[in-house]
Amino acid sequence: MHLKEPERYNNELSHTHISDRKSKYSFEHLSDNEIWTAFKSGNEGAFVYIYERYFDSLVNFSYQFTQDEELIKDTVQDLFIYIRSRRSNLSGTDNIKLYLYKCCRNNLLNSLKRLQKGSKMSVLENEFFQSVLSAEENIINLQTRKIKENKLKLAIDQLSAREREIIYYFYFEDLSYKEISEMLEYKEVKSVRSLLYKAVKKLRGIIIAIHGLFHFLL
Amino acid sequence: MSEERHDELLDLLTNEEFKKWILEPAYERQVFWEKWLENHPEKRELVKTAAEFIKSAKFKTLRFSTEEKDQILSNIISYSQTGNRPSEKLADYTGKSRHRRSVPFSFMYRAAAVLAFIGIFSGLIYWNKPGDRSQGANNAITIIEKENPKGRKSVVMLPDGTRATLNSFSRLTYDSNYGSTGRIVNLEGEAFFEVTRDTLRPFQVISNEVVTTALGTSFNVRAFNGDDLQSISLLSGKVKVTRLDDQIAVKENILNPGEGFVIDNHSGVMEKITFDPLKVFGWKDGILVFRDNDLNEVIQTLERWYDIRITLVGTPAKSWRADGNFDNESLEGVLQGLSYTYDLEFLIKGKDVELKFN
Repeated sequence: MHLKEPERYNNELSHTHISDRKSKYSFEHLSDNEIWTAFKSGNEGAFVYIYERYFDSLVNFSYQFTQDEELIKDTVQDLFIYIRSRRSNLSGTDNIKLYLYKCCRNNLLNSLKRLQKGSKMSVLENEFFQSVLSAEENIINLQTRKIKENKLKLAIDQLSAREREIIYYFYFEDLSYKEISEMLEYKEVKSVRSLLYKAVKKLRGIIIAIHGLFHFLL
Repeated sequence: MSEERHDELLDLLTNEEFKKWILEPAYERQVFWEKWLENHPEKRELVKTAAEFIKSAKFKTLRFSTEEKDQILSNIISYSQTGNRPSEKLADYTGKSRHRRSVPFSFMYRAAAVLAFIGIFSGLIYWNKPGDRSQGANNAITIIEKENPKGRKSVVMLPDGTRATLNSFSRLTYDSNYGSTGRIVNLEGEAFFEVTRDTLRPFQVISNEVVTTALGTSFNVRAFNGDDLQSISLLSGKVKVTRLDDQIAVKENILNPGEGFVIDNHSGVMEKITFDPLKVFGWKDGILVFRDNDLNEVIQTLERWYDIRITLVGTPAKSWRADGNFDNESLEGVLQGLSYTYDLEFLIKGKDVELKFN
């Protein structure tokens, strides 16, 4: 016996969806401003797109401040709950990443302050933005490489938390001076540049020692 | 200051354009800097040193798994739906001075959310629960809810290792007692279940007054709110499908692999059918399937699948029908495919799509 499928059943089966990787499609070509406006006006796809796009980097960013994965999870989750529940009241932005990072940073620092009530912020800050700068990969001798990496790490750790943070934004997150000045609430964009200048100046000797040796490779 | 100006290495390292070239070498930047190097060949070594330093700037990395990422998204969505806005807690997010409340508050919100859920779903979960009702509602049972918005699918791993692939626009709930005596989940929408075998504790899906009982098997349940029909399709093993209010199974209630039930949500009439596996199970692997679908069906499918809005220009021939499989294809790819075979043109403008018939 071969029963024909009812017509309605056919319809039912076509109401299917594809993974988020595909639904992203329609947002990829839009500007931050357009995506944010869509999200604010209640577009769920835009919200999911923003979540998918920035979740990983927000987690990684938060990790620069604390090892506490539960706190990181809560912070990032609360951030998205916040923007979702107040979507229509949020201000506009043409830089979603910066907007989210700034919120995330403020909130995380406040949580950390609260959790570490006894200790001074400066003690806490020593742990922020620990670099794992690696020496040139062409160094075949592992031991030499280790020594160089350690030297570089030592040099970086001598920097202030603020200097390390700026290095992180500029070289690791590829933010511009203007974005960094907004993130850290500097009035003048050029103060960020001079802070970075000071920081790399402290590293100059070690940079030359490590990376300057391989010129012959060119 | 004057000393700073003379240090070429530091100048390069703090040059925004130079940094951008190293980190994302787009074509125009490449052209610019290569030209610059041609004119300043003596700077080559310096550039290499600076570039190596920039590329070596590494920081610790942390990445959550896809499951954790999905879980957090469903937490976010269920928060919003319980109406427990965390706005109080986070009201001062962007302001200068912030006095965020202490950690226990975030726990309070969670507790409130859970209580709200117990309130809303208690009827469904506790009093309509088939079989065992011995669980007292007072020993801190919490409801666990996984929900997907439009345009998103997720995998839910249940405590016993049973895997539920949850379609978009769908919700799966179960209580924290899951597995202790029985294994019961509630479904609104569509999910594909791969059930861990356990003969002592049957796995049961409740979907709109219908109970599907399995021991160890894989099957699909499709039961969207507001639809006239729901369907249950079996891939492997054996399941029993009964009404919630009449759970005595007769032989006719048993499904064998390749068989399915279509159930009228209003009359409760069940019809056993055989089905095209790709059409039923394709969604979980991202395969969009059309089988002799008319234009309305195609539009509805695309709108839900890609979270878009379609407007029509012109009308197709009455007999317009579409067939085809699209394996993890982009919207453009699908429309391209359809436009080759059928008489239509398309225009994608963000979320708005225009289909034009000649």
